[in-house]
Amino acid sequence: MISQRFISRRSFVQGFSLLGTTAAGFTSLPAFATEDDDYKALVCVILRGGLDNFDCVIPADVAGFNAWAKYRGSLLEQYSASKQTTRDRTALLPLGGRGASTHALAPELASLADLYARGRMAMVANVGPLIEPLTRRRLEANRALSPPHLASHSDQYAMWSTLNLEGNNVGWGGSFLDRMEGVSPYSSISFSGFEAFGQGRDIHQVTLNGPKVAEIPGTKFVPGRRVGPIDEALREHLTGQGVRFDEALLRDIAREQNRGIQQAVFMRALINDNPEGKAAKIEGNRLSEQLAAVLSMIRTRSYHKTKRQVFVVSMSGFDTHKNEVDVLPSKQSELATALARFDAALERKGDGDKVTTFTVSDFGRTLAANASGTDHGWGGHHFVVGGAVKGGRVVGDLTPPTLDHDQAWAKRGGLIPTIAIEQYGAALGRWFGVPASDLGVVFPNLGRFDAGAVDIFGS
Amino acid sequence: MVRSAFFALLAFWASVWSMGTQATAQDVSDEQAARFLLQASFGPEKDSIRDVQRRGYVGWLKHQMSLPRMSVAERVQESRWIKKRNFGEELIDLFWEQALFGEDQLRQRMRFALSQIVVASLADTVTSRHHEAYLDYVDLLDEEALGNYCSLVRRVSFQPTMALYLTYYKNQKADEERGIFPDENYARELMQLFTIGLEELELDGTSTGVPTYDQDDVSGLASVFTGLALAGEGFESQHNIAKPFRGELVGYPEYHETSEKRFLGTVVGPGDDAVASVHEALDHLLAHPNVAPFISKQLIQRLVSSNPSPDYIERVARAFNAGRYVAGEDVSFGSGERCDLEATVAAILLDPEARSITLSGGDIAGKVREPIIRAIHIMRVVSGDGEVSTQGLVPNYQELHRDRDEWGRQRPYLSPTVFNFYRPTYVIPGSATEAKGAVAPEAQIMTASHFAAQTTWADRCAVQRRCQINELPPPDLVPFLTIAHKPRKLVDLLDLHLTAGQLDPKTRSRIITALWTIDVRPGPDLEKSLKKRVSLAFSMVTTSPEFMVQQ
Repeated sequence: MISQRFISRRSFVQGFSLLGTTAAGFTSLPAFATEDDDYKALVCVILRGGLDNFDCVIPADVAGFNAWAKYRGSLLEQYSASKQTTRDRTALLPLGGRGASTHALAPELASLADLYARGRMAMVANVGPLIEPLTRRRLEANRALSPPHLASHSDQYAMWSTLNLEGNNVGWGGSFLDRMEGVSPYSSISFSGFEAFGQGRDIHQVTLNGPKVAEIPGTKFVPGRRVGPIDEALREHLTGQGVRFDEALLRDIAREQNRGIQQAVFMRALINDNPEGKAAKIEGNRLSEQLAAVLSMIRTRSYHKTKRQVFVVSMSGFDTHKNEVDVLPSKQSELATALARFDAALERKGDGDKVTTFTVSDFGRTLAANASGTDHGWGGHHFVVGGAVKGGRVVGDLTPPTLDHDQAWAKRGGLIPTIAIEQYGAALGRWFGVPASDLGVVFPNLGRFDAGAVDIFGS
Repeated sequence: MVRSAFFALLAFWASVWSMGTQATAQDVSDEQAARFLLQASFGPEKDSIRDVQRRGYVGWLKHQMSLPRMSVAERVQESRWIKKRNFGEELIDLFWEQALFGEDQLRQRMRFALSQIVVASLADTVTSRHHEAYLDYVDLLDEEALGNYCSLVRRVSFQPTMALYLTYYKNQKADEERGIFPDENYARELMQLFTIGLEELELDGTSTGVPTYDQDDVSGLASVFTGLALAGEGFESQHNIAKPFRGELVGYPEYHETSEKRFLGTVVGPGDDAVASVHEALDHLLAHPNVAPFISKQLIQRLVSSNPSPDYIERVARAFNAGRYVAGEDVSFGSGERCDLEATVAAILLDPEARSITLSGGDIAGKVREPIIRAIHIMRVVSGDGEVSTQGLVPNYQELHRDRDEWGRQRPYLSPTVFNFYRPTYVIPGSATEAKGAVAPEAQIMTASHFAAQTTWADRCAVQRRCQINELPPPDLVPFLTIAHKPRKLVDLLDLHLTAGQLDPKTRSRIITALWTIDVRPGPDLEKSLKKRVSLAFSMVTTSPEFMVQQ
């Protein structure tokens, strides 16, 4: 565990002295990571709005495809008319492997299909919030508990992040770090604003709005030259020294600013224009730009002396109620190419098996479409990428494309999850090195499920 | 019964009101007026402080409510007729212009609050492509800002902008052959965000924990919002062809669900008249007892306090339901119609919990100020005399309409989703407020990126104008430069205008000490060094927690 005391003063001093050494640019920095260090990172990719899993993983056998197509009539009409893309059965990319012998990926996910074929990506089918194992029959007979506020964006997203309703601000990524050795004030970083997922009780998340940070007065100086008195005064003011407010809200904001300023100084030095990140970057791909900053942090780990990191990056626009055919394919392609480029860069630098990247989303969507899109569902399929992943396989059941199977939810074929977030998270946590005894603390509900079901790591 | 309750409260508040109703400059102190304006406007500056003192709180509110409103649609359309530019940027520039120079501050502030509750965001490209409809949406917010909340929800439900944004435009009834169902987007968000929320509430905003609706209610209400589009629309086409793209949605019977539509214990129809179905459904939904506490609490949170007491919420909710707020023997606000926002906002701002620091919830009183409001406030304080332009081109404020960390990426009309820029449930992790069970919604967007970027903004842009906003009148720094040789006086003035006199003595003395480090002596560099002091004073006050939090 890390104490709050550790965070403030030391990292700030670190930040400024680092700036001193890097004033001449990154080329003067000595070699970054060493090959054999004990380092691991989890990268959580948020797909905001609720990914339509039924347009990503599609039955490719004739019978399955036709059954699926029946509920996607409006979308397929629009796909047929599209010049950019298709959902023609023959254009789909067969997955093969355990659990997916008859399923395929949408053409825009080609880079992921490639990772899958190379054993660097696994899929976990039908994951979502659960309180206990659940089937359609048990749910309809009111014989089991189900999570509250289903299909509400804010709450289901909060369930994914914190296993709790909205308002809870500690997530399982942060909780992992709370229980591990080798953490630092830079163990949890979001490039996507505040994300409860990465926030711990002790570990405080560094929250940035993107892969670049603005300059702060008093931090841009040439080694050897003194900071002027104005910048010095301002710097002291910004770091809140000397004033302790009686009012809780003022005290909190002072602390947030103090900490935010320190983090910004440090992060700016490590990510702005750091050439280390370039290998992961696809220009114009917003997800990829965030992943490039993640790579910069991973590659400068000898500076922040962090052995365990949790990153959050995100893409938005997945709430495809309408015009799904115009919107989703390009997002799929952005996601797939960004993840593949990131993985390739890590592999080339020898960090491939130290980093695992996985997706989360508010919920899956309905199998049965509306006039041009899909609505809120519950469970969804997710991707796990990295050198440590036992890839080329799907864990869990890719349910049949009907509205009345055992796991079908409500009237439109949304999915009642078969794998709880706890099971998905426990697999990631185990790989990350969270002690087995602590997994039950991070996931208090884990005991109600088969904790080892998501078997996606190891040989 | 309602009447007697009012008289009971009347006695209770008599002392607080007397300050407002018979106000003279002696009754409302500089600091009290400034504090009131932190809540009711885009921030105090010298003229508005005096205006509040001259009129008193009640008089000021009455005056604000009597001011004529300008049609945003007409204003922007005229500008676009002369010269077209990026629509969203133009709207944001006009927003800034009105917030900086408009006298109708209360309406603007309420409009901004409502735009964060009944959200239709330009971040959605389909919504932002249809300018004319969007302008009508902005005008609707503007009109109902001091009008009626229920009327706003009803009218916005028939607006093509909302129909595009929450995707019920050309929504169709279920069609088994094509395997399709009605789109559920609006049905869900209308209930969750615009009217009743997720759980049954007491009048004082306390949740009973009982869910207000389930998935069947959502799909039932979704069937109501089918067969709606502008007149002259081709329902089968993906493209929207109605021209001009504005007006009220009309019903297309063949696409409207004709069978019975059940939700929240009511049955709409059967019938194929979509417009009648929507009215019927809204009658039922807007009559829900949750509407008053749900909306009242959010409006209090936008203007006054993140953690209002249940009693405060209940008092405002009662005014919301009664459509009237009695502020003295001969003074009342509101039309008497339920959901009246004049009554609601008067109840919010004149409440003892808003007016008196000692009554307002101890050390969790007040709220974190929104980043964009702080940015506008800084500009208001240094602005010379400007006016809201009424003809010609809408000014182009370049830097001010950009997506910047300086204002926490909080651009008006551009919230990332219908869930607004931040959530009302946000709690600062590991904080003193968390320990007290208090929320701080706006703090959610105060990231390290924001804290870093805002450090230089007041100095760089507001004071020195080293930023691209040529069309904004130059700043008037004279009131500050003339006292900059006396750091204490300079800090006094900024303390009043920016923090309503809330600067902590330690913060004050630190700023004063820092200002003394800048030498000021007669000679060629005099003005430069005075300006340096003004810059530093602005930098330090605007990055003080006392400026970021309104108490």
